[in-house]
Amino acid sequence: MSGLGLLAREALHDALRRRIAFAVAVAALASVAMLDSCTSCAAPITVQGEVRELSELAGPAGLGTFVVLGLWLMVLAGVLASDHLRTTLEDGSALLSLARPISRESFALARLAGVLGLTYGAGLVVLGAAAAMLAARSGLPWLPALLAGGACALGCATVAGFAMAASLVLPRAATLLLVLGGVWLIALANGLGAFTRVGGWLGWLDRSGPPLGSAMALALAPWLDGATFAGDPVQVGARLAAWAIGAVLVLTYGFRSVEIRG
Amino acid sequence: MVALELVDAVKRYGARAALAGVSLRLAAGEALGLLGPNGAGKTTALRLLLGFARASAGGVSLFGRDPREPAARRGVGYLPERLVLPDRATVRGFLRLQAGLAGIDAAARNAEVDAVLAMVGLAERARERIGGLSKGLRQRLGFANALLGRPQLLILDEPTSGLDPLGVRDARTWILAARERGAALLVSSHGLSEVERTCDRIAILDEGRLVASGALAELVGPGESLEDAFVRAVRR
Repeated sequence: MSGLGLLAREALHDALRRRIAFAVAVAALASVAMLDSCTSCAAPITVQGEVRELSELAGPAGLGTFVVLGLWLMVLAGVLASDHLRTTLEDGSALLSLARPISRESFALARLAGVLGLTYGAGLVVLGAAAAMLAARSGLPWLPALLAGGACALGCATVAGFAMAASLVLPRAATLLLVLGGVWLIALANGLGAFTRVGGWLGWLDRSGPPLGSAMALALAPWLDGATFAGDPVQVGARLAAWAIGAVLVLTYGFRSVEIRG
Repeated sequence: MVALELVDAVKRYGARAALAGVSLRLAAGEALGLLGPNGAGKTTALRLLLGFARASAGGVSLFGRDPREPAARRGVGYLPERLVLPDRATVRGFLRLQAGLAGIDAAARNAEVDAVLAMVGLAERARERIGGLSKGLRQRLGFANALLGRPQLLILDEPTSGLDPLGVRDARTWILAARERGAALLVSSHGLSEVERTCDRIAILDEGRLVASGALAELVGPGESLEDAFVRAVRR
């Protein structure tokens, strides 16, 4: 196994040993239980005076649920990344590895891989369970869920990469605020942009920023049975991939420039 | 071959110069003791040599390369002053990881780890978690890590910190064994007697400047101890 592989495995072990890993597992299981409860409900509801079966709304409800869970995973990736690299520098545990013939880039990528390993594990449980339940109980196809899962994975890498890079220069609280505020603002911009043309910086964020929400929503559009969102799924997916690559580059460049206290 | 070299190395933090034009050179097989009062710049010099920080001016090289290049650090064993080890890892697991990072072949890793564990007296504790080790045993583990793969250059920062007198004697044995097989040695320490027993050259830093440098016999006058020479150098 290469140095990067060894470090990535160690970083994943580190992530799994953190107390937050237990909270992540509990939250993931709670999400699955909530999904089980929601998707098994079959009561009729009244929409604008018209009685409809819940199964008729499975597409939009499934899409909304999937996107919200995806955004939750992205926030989780950012929260984990906000100190997964920084802590090793502050407590000095990185010194022994960085004194070895290992590049700074490998070390930073390994720490990022540790965060993403934990997040993707949680995502596999939560989004996998959601897709399975929606497919089994509401007949929603798997492929859009798979594509949305891919978009979520890119979103997690984007948020985690920027959060880890920010943690090199900002205090942890500021990095956390940046993660929470950033994901929330982008989700708001994407949500508004799906239905109307948004101007100003929020519009710019929707059209040029990382499409964390819209890439997932566009992938899941086939669940809506005819309704569409503004935007080309391939272009939006490519934009998200470009942002993810950019986040990783910012992280590796940033870490190469950091001075390590011995 | 030159193992490490600082040429008029300057390191500034804002207006303060932690190193103000220091030149040092260590050839293969030589042993250099780096002495100085607290804040003299010893740890800063080590940070530059390991590529942890970039010099503000001057040159720094490790085996003829920029220490920030990973290949320059191949064959370097390092023991930091503040040794932080992963408490939940086992002694063997930690050393196996470090052996992999040092570039030791997967097939040879177990034998190499066993050899250093036996050397530092931790063979019986190989399966224990590091968190359960005493300070002295952790320092022994730090030594085992530094000695993995028979490094060509050992950089030791306060190597006997936390060791009892027996541990100090053992540490001296490991250092001298490394020297016998031709490893270069750079020791930064406040322990003058340890430096005197393991090094053949001394460099004394004070306020970021090299105030004395040379062979022990050149620095220590007749009837003087190394401590006398040290005090004379830093109070000059």
